[in-house]
Amino acid sequence: MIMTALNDLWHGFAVAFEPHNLLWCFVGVLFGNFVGVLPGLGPMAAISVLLPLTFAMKPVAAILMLAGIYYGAQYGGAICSILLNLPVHPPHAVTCLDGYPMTLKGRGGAALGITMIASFIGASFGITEMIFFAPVLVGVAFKFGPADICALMLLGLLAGSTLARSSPLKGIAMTVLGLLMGIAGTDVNTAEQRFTFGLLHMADGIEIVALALGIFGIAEFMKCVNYIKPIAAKDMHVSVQSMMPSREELKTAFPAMLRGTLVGSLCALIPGTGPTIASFVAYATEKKISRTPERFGTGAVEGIASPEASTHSSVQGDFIPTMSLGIPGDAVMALILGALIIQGITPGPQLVREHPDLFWGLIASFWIGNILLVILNVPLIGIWVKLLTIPYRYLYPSAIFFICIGVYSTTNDLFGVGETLVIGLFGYALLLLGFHPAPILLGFVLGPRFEENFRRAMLISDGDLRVFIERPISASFLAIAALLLGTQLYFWLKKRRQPQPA
Amino acid sequence: MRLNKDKLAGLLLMLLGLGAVLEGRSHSIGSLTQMGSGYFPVALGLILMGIGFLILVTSAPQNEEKPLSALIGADEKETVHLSLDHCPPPDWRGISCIIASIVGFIVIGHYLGLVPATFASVFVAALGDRTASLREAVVLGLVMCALAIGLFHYVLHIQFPLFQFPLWKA
Repeated sequence: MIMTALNDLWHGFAVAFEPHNLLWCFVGVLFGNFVGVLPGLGPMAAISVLLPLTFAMKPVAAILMLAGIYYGAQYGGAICSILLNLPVHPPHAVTCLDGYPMTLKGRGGAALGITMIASFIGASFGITEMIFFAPVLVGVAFKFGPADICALMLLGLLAGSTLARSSPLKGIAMTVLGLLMGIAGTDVNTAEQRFTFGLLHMADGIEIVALALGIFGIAEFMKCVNYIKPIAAKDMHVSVQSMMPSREELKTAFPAMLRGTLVGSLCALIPGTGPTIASFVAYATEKKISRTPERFGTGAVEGIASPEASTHSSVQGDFIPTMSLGIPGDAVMALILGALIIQGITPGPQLVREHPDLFWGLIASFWIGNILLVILNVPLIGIWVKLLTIPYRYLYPSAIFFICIGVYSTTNDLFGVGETLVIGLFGYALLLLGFHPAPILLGFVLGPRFEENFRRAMLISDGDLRVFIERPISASFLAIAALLLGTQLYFWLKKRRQPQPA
Repeated sequence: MRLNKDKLAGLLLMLLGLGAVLEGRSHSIGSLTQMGSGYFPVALGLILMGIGFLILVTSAPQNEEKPLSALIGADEKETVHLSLDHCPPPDWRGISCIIASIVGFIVIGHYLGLVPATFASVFVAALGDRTASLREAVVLGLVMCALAIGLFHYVLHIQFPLFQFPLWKA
């Protein structure tokens, strides 16, 4: 088992080192790193903007690049937290707590250095986890029938929508909305047109690029415009020498990195817990087990090392259910899954067998990409810090142009641009009403497959819903889903009962 | 009943759910064994209406979630504009400019071509920022035009005429 995995991985490296793939992996991590630094742009907006570009690319290169953007963005996110105390990127918000005090003490460079090391260790472990865990998962998944797949999707959808910080009801509502948007267009079974509003353009359904760019691009810009203030560039000089942490700092940080890595990799196995939750859990754990918890918040190196390692390990681990089961854990993974579908690749357990070059090439590219990121970040840190000062008033107009032309290029039609605007306005309305629209994408990508599998399961069982509880696999998934939903609602109601301290 | 965010959210969901049910009913619904194309939309629509109703009746002022900056104890004033999961009240100037910019891209792109559309959309969008100056907006628009011509037209071969003159053609 281990030998075959290593053998396949060796093959993966051969794929990832093909000049073409290597180039796109590099482009991905560089671009990801770049948008990861910038306030007001996240990996989701970046992946959506580059998604149209990948339509013309080979599947392997396309996925390597899009994945590179995601984990590359995590490398840049901590800079703002540590140097400026601004939690711009949620997975790195908790890094502010001890990162900024370190900057005030003049150890900001060292904090960044520790972040780099922690990132690499966390990511390495996450990748290793994927190498050995994903094939096991695939082996199990081959036993799944349509009812089991349905139950698993339901679990994935519920986890993805309720583990966000907002009310679980609103999260589920967004997922259901996404499912509805996903089945718009021509029905595969009856060729009837649903939710097309009589528009010919809608016969193919909602364009995933338009949806993603509307929600993560246009709606975000409407929310942020005139609220993001330019960052003053004072005292933000970080030299390469200053990034070297002292021996003592390393000695305290190293065990914390390992602990954080473990927390992150565990979080990655629970569907729906993304890097943000992983980093918060890691910080809390670190503080709890520390012999000197009072040091936290005043520049404790463990307070940076552990959450950062956790974030990165969970980011890499996020790919496990996506690539091996075809069930994305969050919106970013849903986008990458969408890119796979556009490339004509059916996600699911058969992916590893049918497209080994894609699966193992992706894993190999994770190593290459992470090494590239560490190499890139050390000399480029000065440039990234300068990038922070690019004002938002230049960023969003340029991004809007990229969105317009990107959507246009997918269909060579201006209709898509209008579609994006409408979705953007709708997304902004949802934001104003306190929704987090990200799960829409999750539902959207899974919608058609969910309906198809449900129909199939019902056809086989002759319309008997009991099939879901009679099959042990599907019953256990449903039980977990019910447990998850129950605890979520319980905590949410409990929180609501208590009057909140002002 | 005072309308707060949650009540509006619940109402919106119920409305959307109703829409889905009505649309679904215009197709054949079928039975569980032989599900028609209307079955799923109707079912999802009903669920959406149910959730909307639950949100409507459970809405309370303390449901408002805390922004991320509050969770980590950062200075709210300093970070409110950046905390990603907290939507500030709408900035109408910015929002209208963003809408106008995209509408402009579609309309001008349709009649005059890529370059005018690019300039117009970037220029208008840039004006949405309250600190923007005319000069900066023009420069940004021109830079993006150069990118549209160089990168998108010549390198990526986007099928979009750089200029077109409908009046001359007619």
